[in-house]
Amino acid sequence: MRETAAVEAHYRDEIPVRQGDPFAVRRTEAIREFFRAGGFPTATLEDWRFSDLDGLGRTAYRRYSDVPTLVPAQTDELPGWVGDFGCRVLLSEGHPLNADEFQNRNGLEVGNLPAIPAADEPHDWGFVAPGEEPGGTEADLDAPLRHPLEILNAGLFECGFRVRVGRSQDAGPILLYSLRHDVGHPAMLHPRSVIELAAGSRLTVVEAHDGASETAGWTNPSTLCRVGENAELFYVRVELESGNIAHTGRVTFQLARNARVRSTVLSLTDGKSRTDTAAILTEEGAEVDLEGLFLGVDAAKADQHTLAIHAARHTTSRQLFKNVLSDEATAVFDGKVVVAPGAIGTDASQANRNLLLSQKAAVHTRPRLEINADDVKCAHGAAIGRLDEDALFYLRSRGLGRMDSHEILVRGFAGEVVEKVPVAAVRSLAKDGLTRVRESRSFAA
Amino acid sequence: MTPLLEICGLHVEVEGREILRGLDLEIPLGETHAVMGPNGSGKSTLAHVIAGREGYEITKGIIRYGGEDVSELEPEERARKGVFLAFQYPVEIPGVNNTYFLKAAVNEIRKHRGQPELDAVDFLSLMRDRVKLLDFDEDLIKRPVNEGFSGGEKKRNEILQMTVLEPTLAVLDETDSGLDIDALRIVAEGVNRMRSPERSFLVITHYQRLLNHIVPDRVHVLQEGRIVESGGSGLALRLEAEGYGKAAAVTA
Repeated sequence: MRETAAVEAHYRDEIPVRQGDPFAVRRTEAIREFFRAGGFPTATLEDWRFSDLDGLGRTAYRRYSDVPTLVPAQTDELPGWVGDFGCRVLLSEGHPLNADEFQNRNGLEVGNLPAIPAADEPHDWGFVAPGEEPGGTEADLDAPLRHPLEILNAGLFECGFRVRVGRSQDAGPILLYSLRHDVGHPAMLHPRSVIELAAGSRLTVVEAHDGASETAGWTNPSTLCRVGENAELFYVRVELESGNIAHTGRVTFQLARNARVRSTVLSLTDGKSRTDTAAILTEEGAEVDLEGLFLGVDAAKADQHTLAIHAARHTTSRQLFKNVLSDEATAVFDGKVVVAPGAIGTDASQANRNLLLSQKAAVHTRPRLEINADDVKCAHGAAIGRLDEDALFYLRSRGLGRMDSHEILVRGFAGEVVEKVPVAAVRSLAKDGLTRVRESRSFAA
Repeated sequence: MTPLLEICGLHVEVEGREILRGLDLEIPLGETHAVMGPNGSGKSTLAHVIAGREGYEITKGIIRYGGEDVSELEPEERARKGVFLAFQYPVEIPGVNNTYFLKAAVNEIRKHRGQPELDAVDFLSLMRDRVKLLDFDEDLIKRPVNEGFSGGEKKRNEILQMTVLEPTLAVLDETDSGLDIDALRIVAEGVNRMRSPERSFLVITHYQRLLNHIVPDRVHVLQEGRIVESGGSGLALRLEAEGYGKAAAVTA
C-alpha cells in the first residue's frame, strides 16, 4: 500500500506546473483517480492480457526538462519527409519547435497551448468527470475517455495542441510530428491533441511519433477528434519509435450527423506499442473506416484495440486491420463493436488479416460484438496465414526471383491498407517499412 | 541438331507418390507438340516439372533444355532462359497490379538476355498492342492479377503474358479447359501468331478440340506416367474417336 502511495506521489510531483493553468486542480484529481482505479494496468486484466506493458508501472518515468533537445534552428535535422508538409506542428520532447510557422488561415487554426486559455472548459480538452458509468444496457459514450492511460495523460500532458477547421473549409494535410530523444533517464511524454472539424469541413491530418532511445522511454499520447455534421476527416497515425520506447496511444473520434472519418494506424515501430482507436457514432448517418497495418520485424509488438460504438440509427463502421509479421514479431487485435439499444440499421464489419513470415511470429486476435438492437448488420472475421505457395510459384515461373516474389506478395497484402492513405509521404514510409520486412532475418528463409 | 526440349527416362514423385514413370519426350526447336491423356495420367505433373515447381521430385531421368540439364534449376532461372508455363488454374494475386507484375517479369527476363529494361512508356505501348490482338479487356490489365477474372479472362491473361514475355518454349497446360468456342478461337489465334522456327510449343490437353485450332506437328499419348504412343496430328482425331483405352492396348 505504501508502495502505491509512493508511486502516486511520484506522478503527482511530475504534473507540469504552468502559470495560469485552469486545470491545475483537475490534473491532481486525474492522478488520484488513476491510482484509485488501480493504477498501471497489468496483464492480469482481461483488456491488457497481451499488451505486455507490466514494466510501465515499475519504472519511475520522469518528465523531460522544459528545454527541448532540438532548438528551432535544428529543424533541418528532422527526417526529409517532414518537409513535404506545408502545414506542420513539430515537437521535440513535447515542446513546439516552429510555433511561429503555425498557420491560421483558410479557416484552419492551429494552436500551441502551453497555457490553456482560461475560458476553456475541461470538456473542451476531453476531460470527463470521474463518476458512474451508465447502468443497464445503455452504451457508455465516454468509455474511451475513461481509459486509465487517458486519465493519466489528462493529469500529465505537457502541451496541448488544438487544430480547428472552420465551417465548410477544406484544409490540410497537416502534420503533427512528435520527436523524442534519449536523455539518459527514463523519460515520459504525454502529448494531448484536440482536432475539431466544424460542420461541412474537411481535413487530412497525420499524427506521427518518432524517436529512438536506449534508456527506457514511454510515450502516452491522447488525441480527440470531434467531427461535425457532414464533415470529413482523414486521419493517419504513424508510429515510428524505435529502441526501448513503450508506446501507449489513443485516438477517439466523435462523429455527428452524416460525419465521415477514415482512419489509418500505421505501426512501424520495432518496440512495443498499444494503440486504442475508438469511434463513437453519435448521430444518424455517421460513417467510419478504421484501418491499420503493422509491419513487424525482430521482437516488435503491436497491440491494436478498437472500439466502435453505434449510438444512433443508420450508422456504419468498417474495420480492417492487417499484420505482416517476421522474425519474433507479435500482433494483437482486439476489436469491439457495440450497438446501442435503438441503433437500428447499424452496419458494422470487422476484419483482421495476418500474414506470418516466420515460425516464431505470433498473433492473438479477438473480435467482440455487443449487439443491443434489432435490424442490424454485423460481420466479423479473422484470418491467419502464410504466403500462398501457388502464388509464389506463379510469380517465379514468370522470371521473378524468390526474394522478389515474396516481396511482391507481401506488398500486395499490405497495399490494401497503404494504397488508401491519401498522403504520399506516409505511403513512402510504409514502403520503407516493407523494405525492413524484406531485410528481416526470417524473410523468405 | 539438339532438340530444344529433351526428356529422358523421367521419374517424378509428388508427396511420395510416383506420377511420371520413365517419360521420354523430345521437341525440336520450331515444332509444336501435343501431349494428350486421360485424367490422372500425369499431364499437369509434366507441365509443372518442366517449369520447375518445388515439391516435384525427380527421382530418375533428366530434363535438358537447349542441351543443358535444367533439372535442378529454380523456376525463375528456367523462365529467364525462355521457358513459359500457361497455367491450367491461373492464380489470383490480390493487391498486385497486372501491369506492374508483367513489367517486372519482362524486365527480369530482358536483363537476363542482356537487353535494356523497358521503361513505362515502351512497356505500355507493347501491352496495348498485345491486348488488342487478344481482344482482351484493357481494364483487366489495370486490375490485380487474375482477381475477379472469369475463367476465360484468366486463360486469355495467360496467353497475353506469353505474347509479352516471348518465350522459346511455351507449355500450355489445359489452356482449353473452361473456354467457350469464341474464347478458344481467340486463344488459339494468339498461339498460332507466335509460332515460329525460333519457338516451340508443348500443348497439353485432354480433348482433341483445341488441336483443330492449333494443329500440332506431333501428338503424344501420355498414360500412367509414360508416353505410350506418338504420331502425326491424325493421332488426335483417332483418340477422339476411339478413346484412350485403345492406345493403352497398343502398348500392352
